[in-house]
Amino acid sequence: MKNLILKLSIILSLSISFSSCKDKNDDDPVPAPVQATGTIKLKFDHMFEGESFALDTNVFHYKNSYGDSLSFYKLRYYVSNIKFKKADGTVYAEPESYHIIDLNPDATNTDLYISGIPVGDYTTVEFVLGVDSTRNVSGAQTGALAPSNGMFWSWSTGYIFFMGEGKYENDNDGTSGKFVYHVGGFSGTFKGLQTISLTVPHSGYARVANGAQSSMHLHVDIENLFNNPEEISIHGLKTVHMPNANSVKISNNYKNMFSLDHVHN
Amino acid sequence: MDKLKKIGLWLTIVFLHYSCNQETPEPQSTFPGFVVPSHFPAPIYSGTPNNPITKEGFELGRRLFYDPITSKDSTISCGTCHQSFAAFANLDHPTSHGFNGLFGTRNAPPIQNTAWMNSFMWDGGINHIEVLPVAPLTNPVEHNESLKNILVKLNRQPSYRDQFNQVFKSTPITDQQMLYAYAQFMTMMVSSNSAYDSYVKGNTTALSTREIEGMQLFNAKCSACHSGILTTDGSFRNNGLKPNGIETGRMQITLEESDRNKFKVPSLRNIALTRPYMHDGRFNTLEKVLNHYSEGVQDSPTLDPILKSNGILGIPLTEDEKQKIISFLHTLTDYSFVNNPLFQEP
Repeated sequence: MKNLILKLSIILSLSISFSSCKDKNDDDPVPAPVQATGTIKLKFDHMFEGESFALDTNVFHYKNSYGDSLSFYKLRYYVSNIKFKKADGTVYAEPESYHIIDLNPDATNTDLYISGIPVGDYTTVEFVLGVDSTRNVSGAQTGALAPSNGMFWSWSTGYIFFMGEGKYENDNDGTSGKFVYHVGGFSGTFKGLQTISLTVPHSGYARVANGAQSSMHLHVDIENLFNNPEEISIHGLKTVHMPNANSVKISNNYKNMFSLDHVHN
Repeated sequence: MDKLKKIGLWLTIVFLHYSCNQETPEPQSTFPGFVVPSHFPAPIYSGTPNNPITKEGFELGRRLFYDPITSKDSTISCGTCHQSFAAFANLDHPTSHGFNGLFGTRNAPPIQNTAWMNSFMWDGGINHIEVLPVAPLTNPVEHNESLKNILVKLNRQPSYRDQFNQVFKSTPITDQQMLYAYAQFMTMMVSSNSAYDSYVKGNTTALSTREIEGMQLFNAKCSACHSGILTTDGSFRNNGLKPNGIETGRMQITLEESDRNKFKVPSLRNIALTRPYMHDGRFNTLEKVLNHYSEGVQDSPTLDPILKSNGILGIPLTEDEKQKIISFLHTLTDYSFVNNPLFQEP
């Protein structure tokens, strides 16, 4: 008797597990294959009026339209929330997308490698210059957002989105000295966040193939910082250290520094 | 060879046994965790999923708090200007001296009940407890050190590396981990056991008749701003101090003219221990503070409307009323907080 019950229960449980397996197979689609993905390299190529640009502490290589001969010894900014869009409107958004572009002779970082992008042809790249408000109000962050990166205001919480520091000498009024532009502002009247959307020229695209890399080559023309569209002379504005009317002006200009020159597939 | 193995095994067993026996039984853990007092509102910060408050994390925060390694020349720790006997304010210093003896412009506030604060500093410029320490650590007249250098120094010390790894299970030490640890220490600093608390919780004999009279005067004349169990509404107000010519308070953060000379309403808990008073420490005694409110309030476009109601500047108070209010303010002293061994330098 005991044996019979045991046998019965084994048969029962077997049939249950069999049927439940079958049900599962009927209902669920075939498990999705691992998605094929590739990488896009975003290359940020800095220039001034179309000429190549590099940091320099001593020589004034560049001149803006107000007679300021100038050089930068520091140039860093946040690029965040990077998205790639296809012609059909589908979008890939990089998770945890926070990066610092840094023109530093010791630790230059002007190339970003965004991996895990589903294969396809991408016509547009979009990113934010700055750091979204959420991360400005959520306490201690890490990685590119670590306060120790030095792009963070300690006394009035918030990220410094853009840091440009250098020297100038004005041809007309003879003034000279340092300039320091620290721009940010994630809320309130004086915001510095700018969304930049760039489309591949000539109806082109960056083709992402499985396990492969293509690249988008961006031009970043610093000259725009002084005149596109806000007119900012260095001798007239030497320091910006917090979100204010002047930082907003600078942000209106840095939005226009970027263009997507070409792609390599 | 086989014999050697056997001996090795025995040795290991003996060693394990020995080391096990070496573990002295820990004294009953005195770490209570973060507990919201029954008569307090819900806190704003109580740790996060990424930074749960633990005994180990708290102790790491305490070690950092008292360690001058966090300043450029290893002379200044947080505890230098936030002294336990002054409810973690800076006794008798209108402003504090930091790096190289340099003075700041502000009176160091007590560190207490930070878990209920939605902004920090007299001007409210800091929006989160986790990033609060960045300001004093990097301020040239305080610790005057960069976060990068502090991390270099901490990572050089094996005992810090071990302690951080124990709490956060990763190496090397990051600034996020350091800031998490500080936040744990500060969040634990809850002051909720004064005589006044006892009275609020139902012990009617906790306050004397005179103190109760003082409390009633306080409720009538002071609690519009120093409201609730935390004795502050956390707002920014111009309380009619003569501007000191050094700063404009909240306006420095917002750039709004309407915020000129507004400062954060401080909690009055442990106020009898935290002299001097006001954002620049201009008043040495509570008598002088009350004299300011009764006779010293200066009018200006941003003066708080409460301080000029019915066309009268300030808060009319008789000498007797002032003394009664001061009696009440002394009942806000929480000796179990300032003497708590948990918060002392280990």
